[in-house]
Amino acid sequence: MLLLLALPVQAAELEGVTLEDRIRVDGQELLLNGIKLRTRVIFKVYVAGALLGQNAEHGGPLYER
Amino acid sequence: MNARTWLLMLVLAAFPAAAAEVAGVKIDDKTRVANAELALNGAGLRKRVFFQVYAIGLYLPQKSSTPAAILEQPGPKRIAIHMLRDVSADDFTAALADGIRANHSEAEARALEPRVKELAAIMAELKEAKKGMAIALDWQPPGGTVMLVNGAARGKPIQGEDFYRALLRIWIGDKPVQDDLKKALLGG
Repeated sequence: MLLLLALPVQAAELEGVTLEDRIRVDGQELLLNGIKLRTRVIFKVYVAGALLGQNAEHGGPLYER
Repeated sequence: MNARTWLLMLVLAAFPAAAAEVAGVKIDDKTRVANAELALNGAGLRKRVFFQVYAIGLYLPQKSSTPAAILEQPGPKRIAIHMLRDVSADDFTAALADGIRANHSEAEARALEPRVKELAAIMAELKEAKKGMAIALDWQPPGGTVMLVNGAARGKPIQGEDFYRALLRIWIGDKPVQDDLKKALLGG
């Protein structure tokens, strides 16, 4: 008991989130199997890039709908 | 190449073209394609931005390193999610539903759908999975799947261990939502 008190609770830490190594659910002890960040990727296009003919014989929109 | 083109090239060489610069890359204001002068209409940067959605931990009675061993393991389990940004209830449950569909046949997904809707209804009452919120998805036999928000149970338990296994497959199934996340939840 003294030994347990002397040792800090083991925990995993990720981006400021701390998950304890052991918890109790429904009266049963569960062990942390793994921890990870869910990240998402977004692609941002700030400005469309296009090269257009100034004196194009075929004027009109770049894309026909 | 005719004389006129040569003359034009000389002029172009003498007066360096004005150029746009994007992230250290210079893009000329004008270029020639098939002997027509083209003007740069706009230049942009396609940027990849990673953002963090949540931290997730998986708790089991016994540590396991394979999805099969985890899915078959008896006793309570916890998927602990700690939100790192605000996600609307709709987006949150849509992501769960997508994850379930990705890892199940159409018939299986159909059988699970009413219970996905039960979970969506509990989420909808919250309106939002807010940054800093601790969301737990527990398997508490024999009651069912219990959702807890900051330690407090919400709604009624959702019946059937097949539903809890379906939730687990979102992260550790054959088509996990994120490969390195699956690896980590299997103990790295």
